[in-house]
Amino acid sequence: MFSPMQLIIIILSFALVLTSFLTVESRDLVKSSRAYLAQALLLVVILAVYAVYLPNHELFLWCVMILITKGIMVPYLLRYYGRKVSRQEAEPLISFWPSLVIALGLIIVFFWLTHSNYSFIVPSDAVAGEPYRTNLAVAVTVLCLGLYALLTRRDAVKAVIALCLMENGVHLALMSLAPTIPETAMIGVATDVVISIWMLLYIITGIYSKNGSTDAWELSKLRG
Amino acid sequence: MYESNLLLWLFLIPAAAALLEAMSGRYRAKQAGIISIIGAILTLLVALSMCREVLAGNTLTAWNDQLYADALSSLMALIVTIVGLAVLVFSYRYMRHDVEAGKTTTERLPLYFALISIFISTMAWGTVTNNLVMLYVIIEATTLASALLVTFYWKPESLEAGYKYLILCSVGITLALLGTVLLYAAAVPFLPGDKALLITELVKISGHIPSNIVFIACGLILIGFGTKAGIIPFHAWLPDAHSQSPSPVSALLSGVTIKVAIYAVARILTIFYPQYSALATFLVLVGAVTMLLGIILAFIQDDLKRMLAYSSVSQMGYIVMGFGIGGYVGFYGSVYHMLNHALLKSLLFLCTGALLYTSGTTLISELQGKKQGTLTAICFFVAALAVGGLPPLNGFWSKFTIFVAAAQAQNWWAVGIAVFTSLLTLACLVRAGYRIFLYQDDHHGGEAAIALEEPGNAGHEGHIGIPSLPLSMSMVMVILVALSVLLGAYPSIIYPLLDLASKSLLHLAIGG
Repeated sequence: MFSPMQLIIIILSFALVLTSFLTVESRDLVKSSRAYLAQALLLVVILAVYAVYLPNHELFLWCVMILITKGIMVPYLLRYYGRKVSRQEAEPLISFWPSLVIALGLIIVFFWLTHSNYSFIVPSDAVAGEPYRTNLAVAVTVLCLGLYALLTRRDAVKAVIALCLMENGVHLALMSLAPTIPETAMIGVATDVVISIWMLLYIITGIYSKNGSTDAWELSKLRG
Repeated sequence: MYESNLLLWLFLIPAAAALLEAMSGRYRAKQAGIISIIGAILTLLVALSMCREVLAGNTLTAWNDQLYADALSSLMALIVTIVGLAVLVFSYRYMRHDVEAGKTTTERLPLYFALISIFISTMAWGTVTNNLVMLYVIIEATTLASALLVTFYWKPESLEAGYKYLILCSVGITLALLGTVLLYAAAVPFLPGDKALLITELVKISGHIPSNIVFIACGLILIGFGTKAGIIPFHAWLPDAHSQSPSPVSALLSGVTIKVAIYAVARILTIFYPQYSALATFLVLVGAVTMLLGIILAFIQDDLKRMLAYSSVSQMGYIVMGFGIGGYVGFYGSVYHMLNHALLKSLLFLCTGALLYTSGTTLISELQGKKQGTLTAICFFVAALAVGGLPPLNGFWSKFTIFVAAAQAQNWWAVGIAVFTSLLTLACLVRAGYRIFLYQDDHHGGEAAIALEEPGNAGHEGHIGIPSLPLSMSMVMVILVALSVLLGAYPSIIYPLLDLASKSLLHLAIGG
């Protein structure tokens, strides 16, 4: 049914969902960052497989780009600034077990919704079949998990990690739907990601040094 | 259409100014700002040259059509550079006063001016980019350039505002990226190579893109860029960021940044108007909700800057509604209102800067009864009345055009909400102006609250007099108010550019 390459891409895509789940549900920010790093490396591998499968050797450039930005720079920033704040995530809005169930539910619902309605959102015939179908379903699932974490987590560093997850979801969609996108756009996107994460973490450590907490809900000095 | 380096100069000059400002800052922090101001003057000249070219009937391109400027781009570039220059000149003395007040240090001034120049550079780039994904990159870059300006005072409140600003805008813009990628992926089969990313090329094949993709992508783009533009319900960052930034930065954020974001929305969404009228109707609805809720929220604010920020949200509603109604009149009204609101709201925020300079607060309850400068009062009232839509000021003409467009489209409910919101805006801002500048109470001995500025009293507050504003700050306010009055009294002077700008959106919409 699937060619070996397609199968590899699909298996790796599912592994992405697993790393997203671990990133969201781990309450230890260091472990959460490691799960994120694992996801970034998986993205690089998926991209490399695409580069061979299509074949589109320009995608190897993407691999290097993703490896440098998401595999090295963002994890480094998370580690560097993570040391300056509390390692344990601020108490989330939803406690551990209910959150686990909700996250699993979201994974199943969003994967199923996207996978079964793929014809509705497929932009062109060129990407109509597998492995694009599974890939996009995974991308939407990762995006939604990130959004879920962003909405339910009070910790500002966790919110940044959630934003990283959302970006990974969108970038996975980008590489599976638009592998021919020019390098300039790709470099621009990657640069934006790194700078935004750096600035967010820089500001959060400022907040931590002033308030002694990274609980975004405790801030709320600004109302109305 | 011809290649022109003007488009490159438009954003490379302020970028170079920022670099020079940052590099020389270590050695001459006391002179910080001069290089940025020179850069902004040159950039304004470039924008004026672009306007001259497009008025002569040309469209400009550069970098293999990656950059493109028609009348609308040139008008946006003009808005960015005028307000940018005004803000830089105003900041020169304003920030030095902040240093004296202990809010910041001289060593940080070069950083401030370099960041403002970078901010201007990114916004100027945004107005001339023709590349769908680069538009995303640049709109995000405007957020990144301004985030450290929002947190410049490094207080808990400003840090919170900066965090909210960055995280909300980054999340929104990530969704916009998904939208642009969907459009690109759908356009690839019809446009070879890199052309599928070019907005001007996308126009030609807009009919071939599947309707599902158009709706999903446009929805995502509206959420993404709309977050940056302060459209309700994605506006949560805006009042915080505006109120916590240094006042000149608030002027830039409210006057220009949100306009650049809505310009990006209009550039993309209008491509699909001919095939999908539902998109336009949805925009009218979003505009109506934004304008009404924005002004209701403005009413309950005590901090003048937060009030003005919510008023900006409300005014963005007018611009969105005009783009939604579409057609020549609708586009004309929106584009005109973008120009007017950019001038007026930046003036109002600079007035809050003047109030902070003289009274040290922007809380209306604390300003009430204190003596204020005549010039600040005049500028505030002219701008407030104009934003409120009082004829014959410039804000009236643009709002009136949007009313007419809605009436022509027989969108009577939209006309009703727009007129009602306009009256509320007038009441809200004039009430604030009355409380700040005209209100008298017993504690202040019933003196006429508007006092003439007495230059000899600089540095003293209270009954004797008020600190006088430095000439550079006063001049900026006078020039902005003069421009606003001029545009109201003689709308015909800007008509040729607005006419072409509206037509360029219309041509985009019909694929011309």
